[in-house]
Amino acid sequence: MLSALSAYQPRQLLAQVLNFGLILSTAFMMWKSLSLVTNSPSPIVVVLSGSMEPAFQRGDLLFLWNRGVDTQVGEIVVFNIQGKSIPIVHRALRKHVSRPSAKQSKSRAYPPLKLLTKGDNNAQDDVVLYTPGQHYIDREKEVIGSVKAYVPFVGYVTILLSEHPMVKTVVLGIMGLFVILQRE
Amino acid sequence: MHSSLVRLQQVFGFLTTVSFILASIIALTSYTYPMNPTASIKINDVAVVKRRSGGYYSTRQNEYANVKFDLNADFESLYNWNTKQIFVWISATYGGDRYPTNEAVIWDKIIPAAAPSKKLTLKNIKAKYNIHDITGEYAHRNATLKLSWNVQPHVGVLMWGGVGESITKSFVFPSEKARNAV
Repeated sequence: MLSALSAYQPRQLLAQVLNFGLILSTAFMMWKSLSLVTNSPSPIVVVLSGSMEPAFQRGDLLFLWNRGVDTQVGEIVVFNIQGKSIPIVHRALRKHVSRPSAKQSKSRAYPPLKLLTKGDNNAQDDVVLYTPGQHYIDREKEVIGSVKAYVPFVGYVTILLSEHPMVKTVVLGIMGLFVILQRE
Repeated sequence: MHSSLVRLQQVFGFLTTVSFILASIIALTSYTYPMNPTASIKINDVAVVKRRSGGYYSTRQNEYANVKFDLNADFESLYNWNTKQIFVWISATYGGDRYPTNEAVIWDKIIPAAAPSKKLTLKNIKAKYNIHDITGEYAHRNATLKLSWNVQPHVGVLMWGGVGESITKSFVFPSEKARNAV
């Protein structure tokens, strides 16, 4: 392998590195563009728990949309609870639309909305998952999107990668080597 | 270059392309089936009780509304080859002062594609979730019930809808303990 590397001219080697950088930045820009279009910081998420079974299983891929924040009950929303790193995918069970204050009604298109959520597979609603003392989630502040489309199982590879760090190292290493060793 | 590695790469690439196109076609066919489920709801009893909310809430008393109803529904048309399950629910919509628009699910059900019958006939069912408002009070507000559905596909776009004809006549949440026959 090392001999293969040394066989390169420096210019060729640099071109390969540039190529690798280009692939990375293209992927990054596509992700960010999708983020802009959907208005969601994380437009594609992988299901990590079985709390929405049998609709969603671990490893399923969900596509989110976050424009027009007038969420209805029955919609499946993805939200972040303060102090918890993993986003939760659950269904809205109750919604309460409050009257916007004079200041608010000028600055935003939708009145503030509070939601109570529940996982299809859970017996209880999510009050126990919220921060202590919190009974509802705020649509605007905590929800990062509403589920619009679904692809099964494809995201399972990311679960493998995050639960087995060795796999991540090996896969990244192999990918990097391929890109650098590949000759046009 | 015809090393086994390149071949493996090409086979994998081809597999991904084919499955992507196939999945897209399957997802698109979902739109060709008309979806027009029917449902009717009959409210039998509405009651409001005051009680201390359980465990994780404060010790203050809150009002809870309980609804008993009949449901007749036919969801057959929501099932096609790309339907994994449907999620149906009945929600109560009501107004208020501090919160002018409220909607609360009082009953829901998952009906998987494998279920033998896609029709539901429920007699005098008690709501699965007793409604508890954000302000803690219910009495004397107007409400209507409505049935809605969500189709979960094997792959593709999730679909939502409501059954317009299922919307009940408006009823009033009675005072605490007083019962309203509707």
